[in-house]
Amino acid sequence: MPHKKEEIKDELYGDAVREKIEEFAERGWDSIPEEEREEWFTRFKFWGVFHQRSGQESYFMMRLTNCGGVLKPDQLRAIGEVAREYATGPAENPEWGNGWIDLTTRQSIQLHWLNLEDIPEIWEKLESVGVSSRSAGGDTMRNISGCPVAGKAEEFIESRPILDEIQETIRDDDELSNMPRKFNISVSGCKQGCAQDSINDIGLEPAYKREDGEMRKGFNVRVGGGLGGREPRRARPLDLFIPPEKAVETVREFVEYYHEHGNRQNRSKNRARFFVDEHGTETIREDLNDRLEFEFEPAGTHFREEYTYNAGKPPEEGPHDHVGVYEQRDGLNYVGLSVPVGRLTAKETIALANLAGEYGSGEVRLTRRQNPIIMDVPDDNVAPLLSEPLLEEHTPEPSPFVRGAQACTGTEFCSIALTETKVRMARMLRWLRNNTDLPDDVNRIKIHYSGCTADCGQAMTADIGLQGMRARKDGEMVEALDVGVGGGIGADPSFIEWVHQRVPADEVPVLIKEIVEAFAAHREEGQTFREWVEEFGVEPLTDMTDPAESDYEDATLTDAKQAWYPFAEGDSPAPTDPDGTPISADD
Amino acid sequence: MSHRVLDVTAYTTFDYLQGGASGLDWDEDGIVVLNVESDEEEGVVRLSTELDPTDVQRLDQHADHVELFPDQARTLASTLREAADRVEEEVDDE
Repeated sequence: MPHKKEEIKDELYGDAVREKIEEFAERGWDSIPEEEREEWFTRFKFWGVFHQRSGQESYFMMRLTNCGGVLKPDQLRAIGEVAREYATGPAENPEWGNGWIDLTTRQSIQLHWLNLEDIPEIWEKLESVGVSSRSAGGDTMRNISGCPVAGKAEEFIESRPILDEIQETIRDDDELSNMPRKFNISVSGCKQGCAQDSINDIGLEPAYKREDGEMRKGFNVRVGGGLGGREPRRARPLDLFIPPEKAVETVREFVEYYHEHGNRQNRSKNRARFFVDEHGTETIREDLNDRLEFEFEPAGTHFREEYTYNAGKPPEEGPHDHVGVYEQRDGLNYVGLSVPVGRLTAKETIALANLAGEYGSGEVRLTRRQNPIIMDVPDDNVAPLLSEPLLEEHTPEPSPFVRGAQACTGTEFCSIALTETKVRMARMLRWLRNNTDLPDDVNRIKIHYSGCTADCGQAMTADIGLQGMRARKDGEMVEALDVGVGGGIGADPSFIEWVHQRVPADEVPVLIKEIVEAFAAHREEGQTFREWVEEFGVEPLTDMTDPAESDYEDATLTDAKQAWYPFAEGDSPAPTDPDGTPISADD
Repeated sequence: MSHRVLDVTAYTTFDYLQGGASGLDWDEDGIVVLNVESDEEEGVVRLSTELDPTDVQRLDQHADHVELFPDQARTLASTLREAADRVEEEVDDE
């Protein structure tokens, strides 16, 4: 029997949902019948409109989309202006106040505290500069991820035209809007591995074949990768090499194949990674071979051993991320900022857009590590750009901890998270910066924080991974973290192993400090954190480290998912009118 | 790789319970995650438990589960309710 979400989607999904959102917005929050809310909110997600969690009724998050992280000139400014005007809630965040944006790990942007009534105006403003929220959530193709500097930096094979064509002909196709579950596509053209094809449902990675002294460039195809609590998977090779001109139709065929045959009954086991488990790569390859008209050939030679992006390799082997100043192939430069946990105030967002226009072409791109990049900066503009206040704040030369930090949304807005994440991470980073010495040649330690085992913050692939949990301390339940080490992507993705579990949140900074100091004391010169963990092992690290309290103060230690907003006192005003006036339940 | 076998989110039935594992001549205490979910496809209620992997040294990391048909799940629920009532009555009597 199909899952009940399938019935909801069968009735109405995809592009047609938009008209209903506009109707509800016109008539106001109250016009959505209470008993129908769940089904409408399921549908709204296709258009990137997410009802916030319990206690925040009538407020919505909007996720914006793009392809490969590219924001054209003026797009970021419009997003910043929308954040300033509309993304303001009934309570302030202690670090970022009210009106800010979140950069995501899928090269996207999220806006919170939006009122339903304002959504059409927000769309109008964003769409006037070409920004959409279509297909940003629900059971659909999510942001197609690619190297964020594709087309600008050196690539083995051009990926931008392929990314754009996949966006236009596959993701934008309403016929394919209702997938069995969310679906992730990535295309890498560079040799760094920064589109992270290993954690996507289908990933194309650059490869080549050498025949008769000639090199033929193309892609190897991998399928069925993904993080997430239950059984993370690396994408598995199909032993299939395709020339670039066959890339789009191959991706389309796999999307259609999963669209037709994916499980629509059991949502706990129907992501494409389980589909690949079930059918096996050999059968999938054979079926795709039957469906596609060109001749299949075995995988070509790939560059996975050279991948440096979050690969835990020493800095001299290549960039781990896009933070810093790098030369483009056209002689201009791109300047990657480091934004701790990916959150920018509306004011900073607009300032960033202005700086991009003043010193570069106006184009801004987004990475998979919650950071923005200012593109097309001429040599003469680099120094003045770097001396701007915003770049001193979100400097391209950040502390090793800040540079490696990312965090999911957490209990601030997410209904499935167990702990708050972003404020805690920001404050832990400050504490670590002030209290921990790192060897001079270590310029990054990747700490990723997810509020639960769904792992949207990608803790599984961090040097030090944190996952939200709960524990008992001094007789009460507190927010706690599982702390693990040794994850990474690169040629051979590895997932973290736990060092300590259920560590009360206020004891985590000391534990991280001890882990990092053990690394500093026992590493061989030049060894990265990941290399060291692999050699040193996790058990000795468990034995030699202990969580402990310190002068770090945790803002939400005892909140443990109870409050309507982790940083607010008192009762929730929600649901409210667009002007913030509570709507009485008696009305 | 040592990630948890069971998902632990705000939707998990219990993310923190006291429990343990016992063998013929050993006992180890630990923290347990317990989750109840309905598997519509199989027509069963699945009750799963997992000890925190770092708590118990003797066992490889794993989760246990039991599948209950709906009437069995209801029997379990009423047995639990009765047992809970008895515990509370005894506490009240003290």
